Amino acid sequence: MCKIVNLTVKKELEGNSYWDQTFLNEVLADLPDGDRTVVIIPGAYQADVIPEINARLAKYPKVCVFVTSDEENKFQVGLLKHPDMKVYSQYGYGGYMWPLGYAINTRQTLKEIGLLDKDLDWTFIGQNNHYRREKLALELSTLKGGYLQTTGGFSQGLDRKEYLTFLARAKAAPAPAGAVAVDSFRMYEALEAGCVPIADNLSPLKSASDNYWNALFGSIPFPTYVHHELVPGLIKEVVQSPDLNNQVFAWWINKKHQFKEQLRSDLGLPATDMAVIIPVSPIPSHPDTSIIEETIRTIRVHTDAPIFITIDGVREEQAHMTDAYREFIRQLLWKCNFEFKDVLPVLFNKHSHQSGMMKVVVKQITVPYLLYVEADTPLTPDCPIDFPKLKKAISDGETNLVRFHFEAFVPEPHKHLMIGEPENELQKTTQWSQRPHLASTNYYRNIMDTFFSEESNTFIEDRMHGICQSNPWEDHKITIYHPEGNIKRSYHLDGRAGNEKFDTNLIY
Amino acid sequence: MKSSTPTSSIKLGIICFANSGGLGIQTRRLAELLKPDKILLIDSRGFSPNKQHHLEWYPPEKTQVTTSFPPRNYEILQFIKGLTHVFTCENPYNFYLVLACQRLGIKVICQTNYEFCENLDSPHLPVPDLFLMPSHWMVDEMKARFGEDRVLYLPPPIDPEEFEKAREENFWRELYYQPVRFLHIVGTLAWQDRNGTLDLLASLPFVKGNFKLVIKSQHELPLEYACSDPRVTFEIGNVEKNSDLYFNFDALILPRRYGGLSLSTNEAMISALPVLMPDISPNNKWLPKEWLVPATKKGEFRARAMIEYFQVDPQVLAKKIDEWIDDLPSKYEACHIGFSNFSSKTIKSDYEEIFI
Repeated sequence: MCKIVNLTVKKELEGNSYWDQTFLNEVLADLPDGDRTVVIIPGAYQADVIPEINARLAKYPKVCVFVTSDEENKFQVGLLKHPDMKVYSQYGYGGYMWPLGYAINTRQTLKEIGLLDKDLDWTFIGQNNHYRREKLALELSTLKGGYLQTTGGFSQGLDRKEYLTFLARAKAAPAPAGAVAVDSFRMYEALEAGCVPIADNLSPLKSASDNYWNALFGSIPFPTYVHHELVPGLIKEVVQSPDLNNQVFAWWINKKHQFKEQLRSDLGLPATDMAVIIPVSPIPSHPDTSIIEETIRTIRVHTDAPIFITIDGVREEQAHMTDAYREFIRQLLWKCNFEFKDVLPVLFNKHSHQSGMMKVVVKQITVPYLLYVEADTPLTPDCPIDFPKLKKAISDGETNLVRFHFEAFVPEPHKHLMIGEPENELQKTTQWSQRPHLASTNYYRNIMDTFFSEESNTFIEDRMHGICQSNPWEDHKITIYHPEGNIKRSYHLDGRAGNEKFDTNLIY
Repeated sequence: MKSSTPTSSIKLGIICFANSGGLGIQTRRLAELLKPDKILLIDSRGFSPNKQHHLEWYPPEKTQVTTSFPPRNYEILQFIKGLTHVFTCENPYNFYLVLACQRLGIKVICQTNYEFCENLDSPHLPVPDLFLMPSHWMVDEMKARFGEDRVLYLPPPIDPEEFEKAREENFWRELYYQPVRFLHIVGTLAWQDRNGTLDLLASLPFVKGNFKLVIKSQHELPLEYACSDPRVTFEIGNVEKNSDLYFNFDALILPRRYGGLSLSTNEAMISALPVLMPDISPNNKWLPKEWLVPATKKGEFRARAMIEYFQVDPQVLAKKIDEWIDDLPSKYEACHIGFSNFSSKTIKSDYEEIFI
């Protein structure tokens, strides 16, 4: 874990007991030691001792400062001084923006609660402490299908578990502003619970919105409001959008990862060099998630690299599978959020197929190596893969793509597609296979640009198989990982379970 | 500097500007009259670059300068420390001021303009303790909204000495010079040609008499304001002293299209210039009836609240201008009305009463 200093220069002040440091602490807990000391300053209580704080900061050669716990902007972030400093603050009060995050134990409690059916349209349980909240509560008081409870003060309502259970059951969660700023714990608790937050976009102290949520997050998938009378209509839109909860939940999981990666970079930690891509589409066993869980589990035996699950839209012919698939995604997202580590869902709203999804994600991947694993083709967990060696072979130009074979040896009917004998544990081949493979990201980007149109909607293998066989090996430099002995490094769970492949009307 | 406020227990802070615009002039005069203990000076050079700036207007030992607009919360907390009253013009700018003052028992007084009063269209905002209305316009509406005790008519003060030279010159003109010299001030190009410049230009072809009209603007004007009438000249740009605007004239023509504070009107009166205005509120509550021309309601627009706007008929305005060319209203009367309504010497006691 990275070096963290909870900086208080006042004796009576605790440094790390603030609820609004929970999200930050959880992100930092996941990062190793870097070249920068993280300094967390509870701001509101130390606005009058900034010179002393600067003196303390001077003891560290490089710092990454977080000013927290200061909804009212009492602390003047601009007065912080240090020769090598990155600064974050909550509420947008200076430096880079950092979200307020959820209250303490939110994730642990939600994990204990588990994934519940979304049987409530909405819920709001909270203080009724200013005009805009009063008006919101009034609007909600006549709205059916939800649960409303206003309380006298902060944390004076239901106990945390009951409160979070209501969120876990709700599709939408109005999230009114706090007394000064629009950011609130509820916002992030709703996101963690798989709700669509309906976010207040106007501070009780402002007459016009400053679009805080866009400033913090960039584009946002959840609705916001300035006029509380619009909230019932926004709730209705959420309820009538069956995929929105999954879309918002997936967005939040990715957003958290982005914040972590931003910190990783700020702390001078080396960037990861590989990403895993798992394409997912409807299969008969859905909503059961056991097949993809097994695949993820076997990948994690070999690598901690981030896994991007590209989740396809439903093709017309499989429309009858929509509900089961939607529920599969919901369960998968919950596991991504609470059980898996660095597993990131990428949702596609319409059927895009392997090629359409790959065209999108390969443009966004910045790491040099890409491990492609179909959802039902796990890696063998008990046979080692020398990834450093294979990455070097790719970076040295010996190969562009290394396949992980599905049999212990190359079967006789395929031998004519092999070039020479294995060298340096690599067997040259002109045979493309979509079974698991490690590739150069640049190579993948190149073939997706060259051989697949913008409208492309096909299995990648169906296109690349012929191209590789009809061109010299050097054009694509495909190899099979071929260590001594058993070369089997993947196996098949047959997700399709013998059902139709839908391999007509493909668009290259 | 000794505080003018009535008891020594009063500690007053004023939020001021130091530019040549209306708010700059208004707040400077308030600071001169009220002699506050602290000043939060909003340095507007960053967002009002075309205005002149005079940071030297305020004593540095009492002045906290901010380049933030609105001021930041931490600046507000620093500013209000030790105060009992805070005075602001137009709005609190950052309503954290009102919240923080409420918590500390500090009274907030806001000399607002109805059309810009943020509390009107944002009922969730904390409300200042007292609204001072700078004109008679919409006073009753404000009282109905915020309560009788929270709203008071009290215009911004004008130090008559500031306009002494202009006044003297304008009195002399009446005795010796012809033709009549009219002044028109375009002001900030607010919504719907606020000062009625286009209405005035439309009336000029119907004016038969001999006169000179000087149209003054701090800003370059759009093409539609062009005029080929040889009796008209334009003066664009800032003047060194605000009183220079009114120097060497006989009257101000201001067919202003909607209500609210018109500092130009008030300053013209103190400079001994009768002001020709539409017969609408607040003009018809304090100007002599014979100085007014009828105006017709043309519509409404939304500022912070719905605002009615009016227009004078160009021919009717032209007829009134011709009347004034032949028989100019009394400059002494203008001066008397100006002094009794706006002179800082006259209304100082009214200001002192708000702190009791």
